[in-house]
Amino acid sequence: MKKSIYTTLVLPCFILVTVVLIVPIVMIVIPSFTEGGLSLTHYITFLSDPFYQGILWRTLKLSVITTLICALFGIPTAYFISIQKKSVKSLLQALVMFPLLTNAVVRGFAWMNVLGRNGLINKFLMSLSLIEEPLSLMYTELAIVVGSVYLFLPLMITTLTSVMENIDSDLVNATLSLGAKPYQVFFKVIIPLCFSGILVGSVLVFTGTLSAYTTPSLLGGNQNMMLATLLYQQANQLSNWTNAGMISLIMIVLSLTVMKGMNRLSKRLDKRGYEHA
Amino acid sequence: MRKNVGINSIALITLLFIGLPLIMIATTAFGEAAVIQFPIQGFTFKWFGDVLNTRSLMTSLWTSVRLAVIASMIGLMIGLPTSYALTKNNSKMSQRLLSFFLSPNLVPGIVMGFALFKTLTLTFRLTVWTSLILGHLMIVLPYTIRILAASMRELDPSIEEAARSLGCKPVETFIRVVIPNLKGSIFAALIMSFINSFNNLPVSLFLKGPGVNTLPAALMNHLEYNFNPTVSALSVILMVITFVMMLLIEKTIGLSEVR
Repeated sequence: MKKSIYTTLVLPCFILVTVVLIVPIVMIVIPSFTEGGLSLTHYITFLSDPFYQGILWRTLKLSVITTLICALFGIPTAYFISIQKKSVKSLLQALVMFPLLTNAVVRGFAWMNVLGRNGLINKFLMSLSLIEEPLSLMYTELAIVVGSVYLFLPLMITTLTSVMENIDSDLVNATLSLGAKPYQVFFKVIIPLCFSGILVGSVLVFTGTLSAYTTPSLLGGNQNMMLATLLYQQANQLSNWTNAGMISLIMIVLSLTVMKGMNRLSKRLDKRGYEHA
Repeated sequence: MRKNVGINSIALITLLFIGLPLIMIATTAFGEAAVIQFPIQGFTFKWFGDVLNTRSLMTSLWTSVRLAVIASMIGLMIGLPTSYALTKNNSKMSQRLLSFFLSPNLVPGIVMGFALFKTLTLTFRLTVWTSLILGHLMIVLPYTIRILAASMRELDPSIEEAARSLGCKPVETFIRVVIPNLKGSIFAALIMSFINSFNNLPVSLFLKGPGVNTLPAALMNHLEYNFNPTVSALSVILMVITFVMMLLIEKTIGLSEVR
């Protein structure tokens, strides 16, 4: 392809992404460094304020917990799906894919009905007379974790299923014929072989939880702000552009750092020694 | 192999965890009581009538549909030539550009919403519709380019060479040979774009303006004051739309190609 044609085809997209994404992000971030003289004052003030520290810490903590739970339940489930017969497999894959494509507000709403004061869990426990007063499950960190797991578990599973499908079944059969038990196959063959897939899935879940707005605002309430809800509050309700810009940069940097770090880790720890398609 | 009780039970619990909440919500849409209860008593369609009669929801639904269609279409028009160039020229530059074009996906939605609000709406004073379209274009573009680039890479180059050697001009080849061969992927890219634009909340939350609201944002508002089976009914409608879209993808290139 001639260089001029290549440029003509790619340029519109390049300009669009630069003008509509990069420039706006740079423009909101600049004031957080330049307001009141060129300095890092805003970041230092922000990061030393216990209130904001709490939100930053909560965001990281809940993202880590969500990622761990998604891995814990996602890995066996993906494996379970990947070894099913073709027809069952596509059915299960579709089942997992369905929430992924369903609106996040709907998915949050579903959990409001399960966790709320008159929700399913409280009603159930009260009908068994296990509790007298309804538990306050909504507007807690627990609710955010449950909602986030619900949001991102399907992502973990779909990512892992496609990796596990590509594992050569001869390897599994060889291990079995050498006398390995099924659980040994899972822990000694499957998990090491899809380790990089687990890392990719974890990055998706972690960055997703870190930046999600819908779930913490529906299930967390004002007491349990995360970075995304804080950013919305600062920008939309308080019109504090400098703070909002700063939180934006912190969120971007956090996501990118985790992504780069995991990429490096996955390259170093990849046990397969060969490239997967 | 299939008798691994531990793994099987975790998988079943997980699948139930994924399926049950949505089934529950779907069920509550048909209960007669004015509060959401499960299991339901009685059976009625009146909450669906309620959705159709709630103007804020219906106008925002129409806004979301138009917005998603426009953004997906423009996304396709920009993404198609771009992915073609990137896959035909497999240089380091192309790989860099590809990750650059996929990067809108890496920016947290709420950050993108705020950034676009600050620049497009406040600084450049673009109209609500213009900034909404530009914002949603950033949401759909990565999906379009990823799906199209992946399927173009699998396209047999000899088809194009055959067309060329028979005297077809490059543009003509692209329109008469490449595009028809990618019909399925183009359709899938459009549907994935539509779904992602239609479902987006954070970007629209910032860019919506007086009289223009998207459905997720309107639903968020609605939830604050009306916690009742109307929302369940609307959820059912949205789930049916999702289901139809999934069927359409499955029929064209298969679900496993788009995730």
